[in-house]
Amino acid sequence: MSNSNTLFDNDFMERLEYLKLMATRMLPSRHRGEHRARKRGSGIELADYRPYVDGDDTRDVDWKAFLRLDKLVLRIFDEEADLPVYLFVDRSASMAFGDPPKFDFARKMAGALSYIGLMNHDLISIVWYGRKIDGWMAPKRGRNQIFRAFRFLDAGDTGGATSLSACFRTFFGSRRKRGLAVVLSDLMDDEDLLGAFDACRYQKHDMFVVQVLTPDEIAPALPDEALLTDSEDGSERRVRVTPRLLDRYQRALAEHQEKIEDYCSRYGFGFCVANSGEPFEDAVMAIFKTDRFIR
Amino acid sequence: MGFGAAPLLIALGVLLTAGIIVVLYWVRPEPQPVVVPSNLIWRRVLDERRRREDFWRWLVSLAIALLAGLAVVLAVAQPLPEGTARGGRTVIVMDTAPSMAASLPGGGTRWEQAAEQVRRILSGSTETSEFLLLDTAGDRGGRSFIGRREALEALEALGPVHGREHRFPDVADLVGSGTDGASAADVIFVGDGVHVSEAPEGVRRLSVFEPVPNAGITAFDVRPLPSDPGRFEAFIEVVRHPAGEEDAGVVVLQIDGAGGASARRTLRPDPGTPLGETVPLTGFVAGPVRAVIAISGEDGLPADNVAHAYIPARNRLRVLLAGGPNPFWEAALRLDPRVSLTVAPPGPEALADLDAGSVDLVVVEGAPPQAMPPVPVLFAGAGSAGWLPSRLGGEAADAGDEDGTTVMLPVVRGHAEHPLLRDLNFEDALARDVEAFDAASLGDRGPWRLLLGDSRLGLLAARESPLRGLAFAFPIARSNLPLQADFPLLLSRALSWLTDVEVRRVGLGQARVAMAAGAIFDAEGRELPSRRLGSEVSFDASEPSLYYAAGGGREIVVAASLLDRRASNLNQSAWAGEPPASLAPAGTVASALWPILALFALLLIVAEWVAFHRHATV
Repeated sequence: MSNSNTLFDNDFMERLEYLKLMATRMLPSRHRGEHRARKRGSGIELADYRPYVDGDDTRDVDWKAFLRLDKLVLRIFDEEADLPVYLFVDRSASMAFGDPPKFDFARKMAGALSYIGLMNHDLISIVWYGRKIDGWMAPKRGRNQIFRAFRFLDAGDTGGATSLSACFRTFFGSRRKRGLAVVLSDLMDDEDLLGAFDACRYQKHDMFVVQVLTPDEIAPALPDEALLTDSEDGSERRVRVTPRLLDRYQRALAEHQEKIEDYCSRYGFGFCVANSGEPFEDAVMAIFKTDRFIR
Repeated sequence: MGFGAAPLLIALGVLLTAGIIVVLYWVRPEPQPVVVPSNLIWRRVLDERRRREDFWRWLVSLAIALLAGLAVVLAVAQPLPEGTARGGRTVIVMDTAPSMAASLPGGGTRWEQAAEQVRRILSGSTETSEFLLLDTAGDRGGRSFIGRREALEALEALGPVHGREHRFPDVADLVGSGTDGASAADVIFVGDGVHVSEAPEGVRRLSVFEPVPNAGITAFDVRPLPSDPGRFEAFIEVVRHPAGEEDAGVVVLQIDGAGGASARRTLRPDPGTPLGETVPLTGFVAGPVRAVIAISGEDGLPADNVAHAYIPARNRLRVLLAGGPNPFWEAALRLDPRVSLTVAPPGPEALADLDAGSVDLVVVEGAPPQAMPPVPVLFAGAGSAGWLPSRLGGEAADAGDEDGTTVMLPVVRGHAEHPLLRDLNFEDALARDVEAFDAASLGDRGPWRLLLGDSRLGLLAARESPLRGLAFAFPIARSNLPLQADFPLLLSRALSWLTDVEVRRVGLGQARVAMAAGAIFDAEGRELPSRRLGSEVSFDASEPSLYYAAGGGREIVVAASLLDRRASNLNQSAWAGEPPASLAPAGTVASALWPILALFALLLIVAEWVAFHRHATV
């Protein structure tokens, strides 16, 4: 797998080692399923105490403390979970743009996250999606699954339109173990993007959204008179490019991102924007630094 | 505001320019196709702004371009403010009266200011404008409408003209009635209102009148003293016209003659009132005489400050008395100290070899020679010759009393002031054996003039050209004329009149000299252009000076002086109350309008260009 003809070559592997090291420092890693779940419950690691109330499981009462304090105190444990990580990678036609293409950038990010996840004994699933779910890699755990994940990612291709809403409805329509959904997409989805996020949220999944944009999408460089053709639906718009128009574009893009970010912020999800023109590991590190990727 | 170009052309230009600009704005360049990942953001941007800002900016851009195009078209159409020539016909009448040569307090002359006015009118007109340039002298203007450049050239050929009757030319046919625009022509009269002030209704006046002080010589004459034809006196008349309030200005008169003779007077003429002064020319000899006046301060018209005259007398006269000894003639001629008398024997031989170089005058008594002598002749007696006036024959010749031989010598009416007869009295003069000249045959245009006699009988005739002559119709011995007290004066005057240098006094302007063929020279001896008009020679005596006409053995001194009371009164203008025409006429504004429009168009184009490249407009 480590050859120069694939997306995940030796250079990529070396970068992954760097990311793993950095992730080790930033993420407290123990054993299998070492990600701390948001849910407090039946784990073995004491997290906190609280007064007992009616209905609480008496098995969690700290009797030694009762003898000392003459109060019923309930022990609270972090629930150690086998946290599934669902990596949703957008493979629509719009992801083929950029140098390197956004799709490659997203795949590398997905590969890096898969590597780190598998190294931490997380359960990793990868989903190709466009207008619908175009393919997925069933949940895998263990370090020996890393190359399977790489092969899956390496085999991906772009094409077609995008509908995250349809994808999420399909994917989360089936019973899925609660986990972390990571969306790697340019989010140029004209359909109900926030509705799609709702579908994920209603299933109690955690979510981290990464918007991958090319430098040209962030700061378009267009001729004065341009006929813009949408790569996905083929729609055309004639524009007379002026600085003012570009300012408006930037504002519209920022509004679009703010809307997503507001949503994520409101519901505790993570969101970041990745520039495909920058090294992917920087984007991965930026994700880690947001402190929202892992709770 | 009007336009120099035709209205149809302007309308076509405006429509064409506007059409081209609008079409260019509609025909936008093909956009460059660009495939983008998604139009999602672009759609939101464009849907929001295209209908509002793009439309307005497109509209503003189009308006700027239209405005620029319109400004260019209007600039090309040569806009002209109200009151200027609009590509039509304009008649410009220039006042060329002598007063237009008056200097102005601010410098220049009225004529120069008038010419500048016209130049500005012409330069403010268009290429299609036509002009008819006329002057008040009536014979130097154009005869047909010409273009602007030709009018400018014609203007340079004009100037104040002396010696002409100035009047407003008949331009009634050229002034449009207002109902026929095709034939209508604006008429502009540029002048000072001194000599010509009346103009037909509808004529626009441009006044260049400004009052200027002036003193001038209005009369100057050098004449012999009646008691002594060899001595002279000058009569001079001076007038002073102050510009404003009356002042006590003095006029210094200086008269200079040949050989350094001079006389000086200080005169104090009342403002506007001519003052005559007689100055004895003691010590003056034959030759030019010049009178010059000077006043303190400005003088409006230099031309009337100088006057010229000429003392024509000769100091020695070589007289040949033909026909043999004649005690009457000899006694009378010897009374004149100038006369050097030679008596020739009777017979025609005496006149055969007559030479103008050796004889100044010949006196013939008896039968006349058949050919006129080549020198001035004083003839008395009977007989006919081709050069003499015809005689009355038969009974008609027996004029006089009952015996038919004695007649009185009345002065012919109108000739009492003739240089020969002025102040002389011959009431008691009688003559016998008169063979009278036929007064009716002398006519008005013949060479001879009848001085004594009546409507039928000619007793004394004078000839002025080509050589002077004096003819008595009777033998001098058969008259008591030599016994008259005034006869010596008559003879002395006759000698002077017949032999003196011929002097003609003319005003400034075109002068004519009775000379069949000859050349005109100025005081420096340079020959001047002249032309023959029948028996006269015409030349331009535009400057006060002495001129000399020479030809056919004759020499005539021409003393040209202004000597015109009306010309010296520069301030008697009918337009005195009107403000002078501005030196910034509409033509200047007209000529400045098109560059302003062109500049405006350029600024708009630059603004649009900058806005376009800054993507402020579409």
